[in-house]
Amino acid sequence: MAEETLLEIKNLVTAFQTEAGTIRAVEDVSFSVKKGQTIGLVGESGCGKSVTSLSIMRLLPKPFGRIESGEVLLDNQDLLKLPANEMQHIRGNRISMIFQEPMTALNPVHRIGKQIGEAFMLHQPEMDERTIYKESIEMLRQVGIPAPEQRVQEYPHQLSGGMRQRVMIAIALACKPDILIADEPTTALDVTIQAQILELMKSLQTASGMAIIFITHDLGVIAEVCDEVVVMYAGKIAEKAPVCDLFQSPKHPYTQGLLSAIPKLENPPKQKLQTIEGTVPDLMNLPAGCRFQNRCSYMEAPCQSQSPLLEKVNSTHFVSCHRWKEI
Amino acid sequence: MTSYFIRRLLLVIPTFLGITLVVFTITRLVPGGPIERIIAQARQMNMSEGNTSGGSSLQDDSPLSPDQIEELKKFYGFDKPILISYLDWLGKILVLDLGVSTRYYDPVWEIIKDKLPVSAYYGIVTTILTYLVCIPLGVLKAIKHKSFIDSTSSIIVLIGYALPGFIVAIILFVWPAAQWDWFPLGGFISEDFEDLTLAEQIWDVIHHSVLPLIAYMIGGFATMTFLMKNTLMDHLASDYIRTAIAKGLSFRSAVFKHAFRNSLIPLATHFGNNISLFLAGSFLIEKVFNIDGLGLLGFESLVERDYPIVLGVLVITSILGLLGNILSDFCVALVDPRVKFD
Ligand SMILES: Nc1ncnc2c1ncn2[C@@H]1O[C@H](COP(=O)(O)OP(=O)(O)OP(=O)(O)O)[C@@H](O)[C@H]1O
Ligand SMILES: [Mg+2]
Repeated sequence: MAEETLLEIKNLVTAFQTEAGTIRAVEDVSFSVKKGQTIGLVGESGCGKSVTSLSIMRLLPKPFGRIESGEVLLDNQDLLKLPANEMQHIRGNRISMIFQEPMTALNPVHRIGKQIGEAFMLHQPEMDERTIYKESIEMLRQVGIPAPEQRVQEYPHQLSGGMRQRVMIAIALACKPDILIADEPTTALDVTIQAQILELMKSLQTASGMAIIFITHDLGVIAEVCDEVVVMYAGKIAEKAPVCDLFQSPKHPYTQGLLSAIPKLENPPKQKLQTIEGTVPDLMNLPAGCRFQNRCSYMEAPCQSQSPLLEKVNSTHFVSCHRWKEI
Repeated sequence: MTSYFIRRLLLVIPTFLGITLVVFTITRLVPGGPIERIIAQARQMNMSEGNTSGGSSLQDDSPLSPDQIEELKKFYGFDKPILISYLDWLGKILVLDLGVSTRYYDPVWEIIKDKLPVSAYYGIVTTILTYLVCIPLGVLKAIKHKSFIDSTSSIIVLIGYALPGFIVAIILFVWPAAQWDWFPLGGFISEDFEDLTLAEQIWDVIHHSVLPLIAYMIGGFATMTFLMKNTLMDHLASDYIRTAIAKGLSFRSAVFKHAFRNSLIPLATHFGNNISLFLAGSFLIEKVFNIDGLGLLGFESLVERDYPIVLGVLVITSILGLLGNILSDFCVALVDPRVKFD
């Protein structure tokens, strides 16, 4: 690969202190993000997608969330070792993040303009107030908000959910970050708005060349926007592959299950939907061996005792399954 | 917004009429009004006279003739039906004529006017100090949740909450004031206030008010402090704080630039209520520290059935309370742009 690696996550382990004990919400997760690339992070609810992204940003809820080990290398510099004040220069400047819930992600008592302008003020202190104001309007225009001169003066409650998510994107992109982490940015929005936001993110990416870590549980969205996909299951990586590979020849039984669970138009109407039987194991008492064993139709003796390692299928495709060669 | 407040002000009128009509009626219906007081006084006078002269025992039953009573009733306006005399009273209120005290025979307004500065001083200072203490303390407790400072201050604040204000007043009066002589024994100002220089006058007022202020405030800390702490903690855990930090703000700036103002909203709703509550005063605390304020005046007048003063104090406090509510709304509108009045 000639493209340069921008961000590399190595063996990330993140744990939460809960009343019932310590749980590892993310275990041994590694992947890398290249310049301008879009990485998809998929998996069922609770598999640790958000925790992974919050760990990268070091935004875990204190004091219960803690990164136990691993590295997050941005240009070969470990973010996990940075002092707090240097990390503040990374957030919103080199790595930005947008969240699932646009309705509550903005401060209700500050004007839109102020909330965008704050990013400029933090990372480009040389800008004066008038330039910041103009740039904020420009950002709103870029994310496709009509009448930005007027919107900049308004408060979040005067905007719809889709508008607010656009504002969030405007804030995140204000300082032209190298990486945007989008944690289910469209889940709370209706389908047409969802499509518009995806379109917007793609076009902004083309314009700026930033990399995106796109978190979703919607494989359809993955197929549309991602170059590479990381499939997570119960805190671990199940499979990692370029998007075409993954859709054409999924190796992990879980990925296969996810793909066949997508309803297709060719299917006869009113047919029972395909699902993966069973539920995600409780992180408090994980089974020995493979975490997917209780839902896997290929389960065999070694699956119950040994954790599968991430094995190489080819130079870009990795899978964590004892029996991937057979299935 | 202006039209909203004009409407709110207009709404004060029916509320005010309701409150005063009810109290006015009660003063008419309960026994022991001014006429009965005069009759009792007259009887006492007769008895002592009777004892010395050993004379006439003709007027055992009533020391006053029916004519005299009729005249008294007319004087106090008791001869007309309640509603009519209420309207009479109301008509005079409009020109700030609150009637004449049945005890002192001074105009009620003059009496109340004398007490107002003292009450206003305590009311305003108590409100300001309460907020000045509770807001920073609540912020500190939220940021240092579960720390030593947080727990200790909770204990102190809760003890203050559990102790009734007048008990605190008595304790403060007995020890720091009476026993140890650190503070004056009550009163609002010293006897020689007029002769003091301005600086000495200011010091004199402060010196006199330290203990009563503590007694007033100590119970109010808990509610406001915990309100501040809990709302701030809610906001600190909210999504928009995460957004702010993801933008590159430090936790500290996120607290002060984002969470703080949002957390003031519930406190603002209490503002008007607090200020009118403190203005009305507490007669027990006023009694202990011999402060000549509205609380004590109202209480004593009630005991003595000095209805014009009772009603006068009621007029003042209910107007303050109603205006306080509007003030609260105004404060909320100041901090929360989502609140729109139209
Ligand atoms: N603050 C927390 N305290 C304790 N456990 C937590 C906390 N946040 C997350 N977890 C645990 O971490 C696991 C992973 O959660 P995470 O939010 O990353 O899931 P997710 O993949 O983002 O799911 P979703 O699709 O629902 O957003 C969950 O099982 C949850 O129990
Ligand atoms: Mg999530």
